[in-house]
Amino acid sequence: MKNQDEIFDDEVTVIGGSEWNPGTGDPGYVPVGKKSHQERWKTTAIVLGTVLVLSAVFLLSRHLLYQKQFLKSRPDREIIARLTESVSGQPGINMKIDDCLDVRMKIFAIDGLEAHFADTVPDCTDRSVYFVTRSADYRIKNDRREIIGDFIQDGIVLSRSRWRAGFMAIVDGQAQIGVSRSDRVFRYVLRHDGSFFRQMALVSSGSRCDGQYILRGKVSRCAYARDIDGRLYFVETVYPEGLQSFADALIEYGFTDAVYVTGGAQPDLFYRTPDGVPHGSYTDDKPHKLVIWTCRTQTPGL
Amino acid sequence: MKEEMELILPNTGTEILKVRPSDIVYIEADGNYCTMHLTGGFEQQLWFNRQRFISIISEQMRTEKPAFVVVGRSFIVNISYIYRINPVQGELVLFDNLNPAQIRLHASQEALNRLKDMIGSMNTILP
Repeated sequence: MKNQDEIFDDEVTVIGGSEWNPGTGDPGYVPVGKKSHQERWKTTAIVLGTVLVLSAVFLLSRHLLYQKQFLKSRPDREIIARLTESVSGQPGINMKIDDCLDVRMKIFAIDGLEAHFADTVPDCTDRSVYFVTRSADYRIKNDRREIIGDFIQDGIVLSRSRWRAGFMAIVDGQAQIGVSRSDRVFRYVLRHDGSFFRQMALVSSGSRCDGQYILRGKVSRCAYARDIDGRLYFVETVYPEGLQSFADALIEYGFTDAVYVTGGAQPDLFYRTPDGVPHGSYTDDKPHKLVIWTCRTQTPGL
Repeated sequence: MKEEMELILPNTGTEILKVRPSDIVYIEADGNYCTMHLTGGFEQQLWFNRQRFISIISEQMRTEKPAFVVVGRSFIVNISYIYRINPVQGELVLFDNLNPAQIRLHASQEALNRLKDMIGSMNTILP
């Protein structure tokens, strides 16, 4: 500093800070740009952190809520493993009528048959056709059919929604049912140009899926069901039943998983027994997506 | 943020003042004495001269970021309160949000030009 006794009119001198080190982090007079930059990063970090936490909470809540609706069924990887297997066994449909818990049911055991989707009723005189059922629900909106729930037909996605936890997956004719809201099987089917539909889950791991039962009242009901050995069935009630009593009967009968099928029971559902004999007929006046069960090698007919 | 330090000003033989630098708006020198203008319009007579005040600040705030600037013969100003510098009119206006009255100081054009340059190079927040 200059001679302390001299004072000038134009003197401008900063005092203090002779040993001040700007790098020692005294935040008192942080330059404008730097402070704003730091604050901006802090705000961004807080916002991002909050968004991440809220997202995690939302996803976890949704996961827990969804899981509450039904017991966990067999894992997706097991279903995918089964989808890679070839269809085997004596082709045909074996039907029997049975009662359980006062619910009379027609039970169609499906063996050695390949499944695929179709938009029209097949020619049931074709000896390769063994069985025909409906599949997903739909609604009409603006004169257009909108399928409800995830739906793939031969590798083309026609609809997306996972609320309905039951599903049927088909790859190269091999069909499996399951109960899960995971997309894993869906993505596998899509990659392999397969077919897939979702419906309400009725039974999962031998328990009711009450959270899925959005239909009320008593009408004839039907479902695809699977027993402990993995054998696939189609079950329809003979008389009008509520969903809960239908599910209870399926469980009591021994089915571990069951997926609802729309449309109610057919008066005399078409099926072909292993000896190739056709029974009943299939009629449908509504634009349902159908599941057609066929045999590659035709059974010698009568 | 670290706590602001406090200046200890031995005002007389028996009296000392304890004040935070941020509470001092400016010092006005008048011969052998100074008047310390604090925020809110409060004034305190200091029984020592400008040079003594400069020594105290230089000593006690040597490790702190510079907060005061000597402007001309008469003033030692807290940089935070500098609001407007108009060298043409020779006017330095200070802003204290606790004191509604504007504080207008007069200094030479040369001093105010130097002050302008200094403020620009310090990149200090101006109220």
